[in-house]
Amino acid sequence: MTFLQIILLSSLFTIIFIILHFAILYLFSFTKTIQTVLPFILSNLICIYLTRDLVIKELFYSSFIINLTILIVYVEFLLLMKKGFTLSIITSFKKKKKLSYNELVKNYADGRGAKWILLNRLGGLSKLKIIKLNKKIKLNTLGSFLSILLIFLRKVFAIKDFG
Amino acid sequence: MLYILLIFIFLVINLLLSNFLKTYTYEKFFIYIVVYFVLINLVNLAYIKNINLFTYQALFSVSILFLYSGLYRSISVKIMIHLYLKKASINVDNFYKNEFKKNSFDKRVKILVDNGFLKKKNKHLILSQRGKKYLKIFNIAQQMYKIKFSG
Repeated sequence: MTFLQIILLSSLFTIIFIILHFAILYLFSFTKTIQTVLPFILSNLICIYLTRDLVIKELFYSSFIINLTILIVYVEFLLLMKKGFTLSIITSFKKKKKLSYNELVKNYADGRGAKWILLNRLGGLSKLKIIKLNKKIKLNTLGSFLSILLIFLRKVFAIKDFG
Repeated sequence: MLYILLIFIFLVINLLLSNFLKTYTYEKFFIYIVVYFVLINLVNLAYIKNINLFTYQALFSVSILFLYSGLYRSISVKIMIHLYLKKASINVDNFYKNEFKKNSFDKRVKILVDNGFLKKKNKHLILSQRGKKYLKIFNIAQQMYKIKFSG
């Protein structure tokens, strides 16, 4: 019964969260982070308000953890749509139905080309002061530290290869 | 204490699976996470009966799944580890030609061909029926979220 009540609360949260996210997306021009975080906070507050007089409100802590899980899945879905590397190879076939390998390399990411994605990611790493980027790329101290951490995490998860 | 023990058990089983299975891909890890989540919650439902354990396991499983996905597939992670292991600065163009195109781009194209999203036809690549279906879904989702292009 408790389980169903938590699922009910989190379902209510999900509906309000998605409606608010779309409302903010179409009505305002906030940054991507605010577009997601603001609906998350608001929908949790709305859920607390709606259940304030009910016994179910005691389950809000458990429901909040599930809501956080839903937020992670939702953000990952949005990131996949925006930044998905493999997905972008499929969407390169939007304009042309048939592509040679070289055409695919050129048409990648709406005609920006495969090299663009590398430069885009390098630009991101450079902004975060992880690498020094000129014609050559080199790790900064922060980058070296993070790389050690990433190698350690890959060992913990027993990841041997790259996908 | 129980939560820490569960993390430890999760990692040990994962290590054993990666050693016993010939290739331990992201898909296999995904199946492992789902099976782990279901089994833990069955045990919880039958013996422990702790609702917080269920919510914690949901958050843990999803977080670990996406963390693993990043460590396994992310281009930025790949670049950083490559740079760290090389211990020297690398020319961008050389890195693109020798590393990125061969080990990232070509690899993803091969995965799409192997999984039946793309088909090879007279030195050209075309979308399979499955690929066309996914392209339609991606188009609708990207329009809904006002995403002009991905990459």
